[in-house]
Amino acid sequence: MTGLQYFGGSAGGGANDMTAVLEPARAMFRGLIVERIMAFEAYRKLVQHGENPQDEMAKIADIAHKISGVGATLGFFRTGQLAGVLDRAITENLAKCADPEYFRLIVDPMLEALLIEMESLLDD
Amino acid sequence: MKILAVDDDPVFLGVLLPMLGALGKANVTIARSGDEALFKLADAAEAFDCLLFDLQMPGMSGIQLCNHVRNLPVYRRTPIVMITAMTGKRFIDDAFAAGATDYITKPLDPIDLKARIGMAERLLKERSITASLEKKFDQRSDIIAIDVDFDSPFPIPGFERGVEYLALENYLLMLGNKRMYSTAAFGISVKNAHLFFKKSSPLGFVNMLGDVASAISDAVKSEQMMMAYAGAGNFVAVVSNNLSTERVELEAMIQSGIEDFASFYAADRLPLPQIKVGDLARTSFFGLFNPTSILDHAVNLAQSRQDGKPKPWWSAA
Repeated sequence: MTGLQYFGGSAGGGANDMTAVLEPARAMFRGLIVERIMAFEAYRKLVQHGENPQDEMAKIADIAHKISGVGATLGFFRTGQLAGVLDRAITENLAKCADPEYFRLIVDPMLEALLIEMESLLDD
Repeated sequence: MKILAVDDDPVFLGVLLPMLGALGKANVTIARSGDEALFKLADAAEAFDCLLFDLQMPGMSGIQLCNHVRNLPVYRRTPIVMITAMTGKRFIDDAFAAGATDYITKPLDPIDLKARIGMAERLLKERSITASLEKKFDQRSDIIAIDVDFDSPFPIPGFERGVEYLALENYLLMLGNKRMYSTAAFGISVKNAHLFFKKSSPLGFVNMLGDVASAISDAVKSEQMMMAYAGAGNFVAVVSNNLSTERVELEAMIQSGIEDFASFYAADRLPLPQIKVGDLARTSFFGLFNPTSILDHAVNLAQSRQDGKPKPWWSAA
C-alpha cells in the first residue's frame, strides 16, 4: 500500500510540492528494501541458531526502527506500522528477548508479516 | 537559523532536509553519528542555533550526545530537539533530563515540525537575552546593566538541576494527559520576592534566585525531579507521583540553606528570602486539562501558603 501522506499547505507548499521533494528519499527507501530483507533474514537465522539472541534481536530492532521512522511519511504506511510494532516488541521488552520462545511466538510472526509486506513493495 | 541535524539513517535525513527546506530552513548541516556531530560542533566557525538529534543511534545515543553538548559552554542553552520514534516515559524522561528542550516523534509530521522549529526560534530570541546575562555573570562585574522582568521565567545562571520553564512545559506535553495521572508537581515560592525585587537591583534579584536555587538543589539532592524557575519568585518541580521528603521538612531545609547567606543579605541591607513550599498538585480525573496546567496549580498552592487563602488555581497567571 503506497501513496504519499497529505502534508497540507502550512509548511510552505501543498501535497504535490512535498511529494516531489520527498521523491529522492522515497527512491532511497525503495532501493534499500532488498538489502533490508536480506539483513532481516540473516539476523533471524542468527537469533534462531546463535548464542546471543538479544544482540541479534537488537539489530533487527535497529532496522525496523529506521523503517518505522520514515515509512508513513514516504507513503509506505503499512510497512511503517508493522516495523514500528516489531521495533517496540523488542526495545520495550529487552529482558524477554533472552528467551528463545519470546522470539518464536511473538517477534518472529511480526517479522514475518513485515517481510511479506516489504516483498510486496518489490512487486509495485 | 543554522541547524545541525544528527541521524544515522540517510533516508530519514532525506525526509528531514526537504521538510526543513519547505519551512525556509536551508542552512542545515548533517552528521551521521554522535562523534561526527561533536566534531562538527567543535569545527564550526559560527555556532549552530538549533540542534536536532535522533535519540536511537548506534554508538553514542542521542541522550549521550545531548549530555556532551550541554557541557560545551557555547551550547549550554541552544535549543535541542530530540527526534525519535520512542514515546515511552523512560525515553522522554531521559531526553529532558539530559537537557533536551523539546521532543518530536517519528514519523515526522510537517505541521508538528513547523511548530517545534517555531518554538526553537522563539527560544533563540529569548536566549540572546539570557546569554548576555550569563556572560555578565561570568565576568563577575559589579556594575551590570541587566533587564529582568519580575513575572517572567528565565534560566537561573548556575542552577544545574534546573531546566528551562518552556522545556518543563514541553516535557509535560510529551507525557500527555494519560501519563499525567502518575505525575505530581509542587511549587517553591519566595514569599518576599516582590519586595526584594523593588529594593534590590535586577542583578541582586537574579543573585538571590541563584541562592534559592542552590538551596533547593541541596535540599532535594536525593529526589528524582525536574525543576524550573517559573517567574515572580516561584520555582516549580515535577515528580513521579510522590515526594519522599515531607513538605515541612523540605521547606525547613531550603530555608536553612538560605540562612547560610544571611550575612551577605544583611551587609547589603536586603531582606533574607522567605521560602514557602506548596502541597503536591495532581491532575484532576474530572476534566481534560492541558497537562501544563499542573504547573500553574503547583505555583498557586505555594503562593496560597503565603497569602493565607488558596486562590482558584485555574485563574493562576
